[in-house]
Amino acid sequence: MPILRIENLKKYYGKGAQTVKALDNVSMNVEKGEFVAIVGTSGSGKSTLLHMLGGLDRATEGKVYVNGHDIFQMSDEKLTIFRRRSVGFVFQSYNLVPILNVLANIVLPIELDGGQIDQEYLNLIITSLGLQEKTRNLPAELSGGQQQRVAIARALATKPSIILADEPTGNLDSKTSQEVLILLKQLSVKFDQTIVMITHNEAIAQMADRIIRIEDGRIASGLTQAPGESRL
Amino acid sequence: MIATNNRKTVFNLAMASLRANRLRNLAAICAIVLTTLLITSIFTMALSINQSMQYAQMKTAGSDFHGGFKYLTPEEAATLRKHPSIKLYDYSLSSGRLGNTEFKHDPVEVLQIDQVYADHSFIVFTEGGLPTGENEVALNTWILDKLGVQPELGKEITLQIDIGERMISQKFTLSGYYEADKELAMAGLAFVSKAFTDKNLSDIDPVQSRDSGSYVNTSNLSVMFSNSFHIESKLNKVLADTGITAPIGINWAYSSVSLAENAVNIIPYAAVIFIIMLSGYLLIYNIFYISVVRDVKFYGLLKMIGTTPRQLRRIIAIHARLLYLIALPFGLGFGYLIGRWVTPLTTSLSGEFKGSSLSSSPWIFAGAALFSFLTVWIAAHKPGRLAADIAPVEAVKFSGVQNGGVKTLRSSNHGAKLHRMAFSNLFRSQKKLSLMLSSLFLSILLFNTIFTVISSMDVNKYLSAYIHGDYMIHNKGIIQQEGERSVNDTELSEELYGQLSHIDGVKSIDKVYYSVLTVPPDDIIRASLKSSANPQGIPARVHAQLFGLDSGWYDLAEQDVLEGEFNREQFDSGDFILVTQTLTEPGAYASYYHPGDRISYPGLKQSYEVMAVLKYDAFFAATTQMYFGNGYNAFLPAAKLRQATLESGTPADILSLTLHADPDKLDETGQLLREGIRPLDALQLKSREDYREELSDNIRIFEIIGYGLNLVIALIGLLNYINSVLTGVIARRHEFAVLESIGMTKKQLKRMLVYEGLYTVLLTALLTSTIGVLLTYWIARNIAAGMAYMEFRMMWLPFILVIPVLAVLSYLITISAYRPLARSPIVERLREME
Repeated sequence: MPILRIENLKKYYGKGAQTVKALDNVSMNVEKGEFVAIVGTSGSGKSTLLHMLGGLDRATEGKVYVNGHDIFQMSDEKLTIFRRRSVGFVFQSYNLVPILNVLANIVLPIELDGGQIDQEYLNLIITSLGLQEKTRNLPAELSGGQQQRVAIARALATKPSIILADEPTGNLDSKTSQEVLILLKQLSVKFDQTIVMITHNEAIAQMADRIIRIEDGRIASGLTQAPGESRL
Repeated sequence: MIATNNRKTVFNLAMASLRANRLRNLAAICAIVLTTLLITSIFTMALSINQSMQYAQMKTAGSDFHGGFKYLTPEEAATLRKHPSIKLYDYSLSSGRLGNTEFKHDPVEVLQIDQVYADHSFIVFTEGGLPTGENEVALNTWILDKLGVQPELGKEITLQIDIGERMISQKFTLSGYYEADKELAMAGLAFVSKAFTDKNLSDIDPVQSRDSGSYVNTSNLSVMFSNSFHIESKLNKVLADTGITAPIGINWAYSSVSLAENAVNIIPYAAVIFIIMLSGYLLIYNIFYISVVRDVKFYGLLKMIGTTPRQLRRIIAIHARLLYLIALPFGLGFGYLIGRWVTPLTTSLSGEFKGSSLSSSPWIFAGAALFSFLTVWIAAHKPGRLAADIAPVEAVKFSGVQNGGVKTLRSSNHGAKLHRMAFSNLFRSQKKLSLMLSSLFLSILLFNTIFTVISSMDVNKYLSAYIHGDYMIHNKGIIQQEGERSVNDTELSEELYGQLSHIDGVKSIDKVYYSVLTVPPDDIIRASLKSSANPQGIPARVHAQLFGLDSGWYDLAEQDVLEGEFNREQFDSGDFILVTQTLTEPGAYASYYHPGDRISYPGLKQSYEVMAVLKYDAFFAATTQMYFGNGYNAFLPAAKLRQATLESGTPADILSLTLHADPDKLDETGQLLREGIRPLDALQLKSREDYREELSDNIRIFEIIGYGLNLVIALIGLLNYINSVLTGVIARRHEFAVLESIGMTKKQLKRMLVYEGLYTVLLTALLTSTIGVLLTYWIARNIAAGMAYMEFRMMWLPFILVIPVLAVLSYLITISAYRPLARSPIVERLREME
């Protein structure tokens, strides 16, 4: 069973002749452990698609199943709880809580959920991302690459079903971008994580197991896994 | 979903974000302190005034019993107190009056009482207690002072006790004493023991003494029912059930004003508290609302990470509660201090009760804390929901909160004129606009009302209400000794009048004679009461207060004539009488008599023809300024009343002398007058100047309280305005940057903002000049109508004056809000929002 299933997803803005079809009848699946890159030009609808997948925004029509759950059926409250348990986000602008230190940022989703922190797993993530020296620092005291690593750690902390990354390297220089991406890829293998990443950078997309191209709100290619490209 | 243990995390998150919002916190704390402070001081005032009022009335009324039966035989008392409706009773035995010469003008009743009586009559012994031995007596400090005896237990005092038949002169030892001053009912009481009355009074037949009017050895029974409603009918029912006839007394402290029982008295306090809560709400709401809008990204981020809407609401609620807890002690403390400071001012204003007590009831703090919590809670509720409703996706990219969905944008045919842009900008957030407007409107309304009320105070009206000439000497004794305590001789005698008229500088003196008659209603009164279907039935007697006026007073007749015509010469003949309207029920006046009717009084030989009917408070300065229910005032020429009452055997006394002085010797004359009446403590001399000062004192108190309250509310209004403008500018940074990037100059931008401010002022002016005027007119008129010395005058000045002041403030606030914005480069501001 695919971990992520999208059926006839539509997102329209406006009405009548001025309707903007940000997503127009998109259907796709992502299997567990896959690292998928969604590429497209600016305004192609890739960000909208990612927001839909993570339940950050609601669709005009269609369904999104994460781990078998129809997320648009959930109330705002339930969706938020589901999101913090099952979806991890990594954004271009890091989106760390500026008033909390690195450690607090990482464990915040777990604590909000009232869950027990798996200390061993947490330490593993922190050391894997090379953040062990920085846990007491505030986000503003870190470099961009470090901040993004904190964001990745936060996304991994809840052992989510899926990690959604929106231009995770958009604000980083190319060297740091490389480092972050390699880390992301390594971790996805290490923790058997499913990752959906948005980018407009072809080179970065090449690191993924599968590339889905999106144009004018429709999927142009990459719907099925190319044979031989599976890493399993 | 399973319940999760995440309260601590939410709390920590709330604490962290609280720390990050220092400026907001300070503003919120100030707002909460202000609100709590105001509510507390109002509570302190209301409760203190209520307490003093009730207590003062209880004290002058003498006890907190609901009522009682007077002049009973011991058997009657025994029967009555067994009645099932009586929950509690006390018992006292009339044992005569003190006969010592010191008490000639201030009669002191001698009683034998039980402990229940003492407990319920506010008699708290400083030392000792009720007498037990035959030669023991308990007295109060006022009596001891009069006798010149040190308050000390065991002190020997010789007292004469007039028991009607004879005078007992005996040495007593002091068994106990308590504090009392002359104003209090309990001052006029002395207590002897049962041993004393058994020995000295047992031979007096209460029935006989009741008939003789000395009432010695009759018993009084004060009773308490289950509640204080319909006391009179309950007392009458007890009498009817037992078949005993006895006079009843009702504790009027229960029938008159007290906050708990008279809902009308709560209304002004409730209104003020409501206004305060509203202003506080507006301010606190605005602070929270703005902080949520500013931190929209933060809350969106939290939501994206997985903070649920409920958790977000809780974060805001925790902020509100913590800030409330920090602010509370300051608000309560300062509020209580201010309340304590203001209360004496207000009580001195009403002059109704002296020695006001300050309440420190825990209810003040509980009530104020509750009301201010409600204000904070309600104010923070909506912003909390706003934070909860932020869509996480908006947090990632959007800056600002959308209110009530997308509005249809109207296309403009007028191009982008600055003032038009400003005008439509104003209506972009209608909620913010209405908050700002209502806050400004409230403070201006309050200012106008207070200003109008104070301007309506009329010195001349006040003076003419209380004094006619330059000096007035009042015989307070007559009024205080009215009824049972009356004594025949009076200190304001004809001799004194003679002496005073020879004082240098006194040009003329107008006397007022006074005699109060309780007369059975005549046919005219009966007919009048019957036709008005008086629910209480026709009373057995009505009070007619007769005043004899010297001709100096005549000028004042004209202005109060309601029916008929006042004719000086005819009036002087002595065949005519002027009568006033009667207070038939609270607030309603009607006249028994009409011009042409003839009135005769028992004891007076002559009958009088009614010349004119006057307003109920005609010749206010000349009268006792007391009015009896169903009674009326009547006026005759001074000499005629004196003569008629002399013939009847109970001559009318001089109530007051109004002195007209030589304007050049005004002060010296006053000095001499003061000297002349110094030894006579029942007399009170007041000059025109004294009254003028009294009024200006009143006005000053009005100003302190009124403008004080106003200042605070205006401050709230202004803070709200500043808050809105500042945050509006901050929230619109990106928009301004965009406008600048497409070619709007900084100057134009500034002009647009100034226009926005001026439009706000214009809208406020529009509101105040319409609804504001109506409301001010209505409120101020009602207040003015309730006060004797107010001549309602609508004031336009504040309405007009406020506008330029507001315009200048608005300009300054806008400019200072814009300045820091203008400094940062466009690109930075454009990028900041990405």
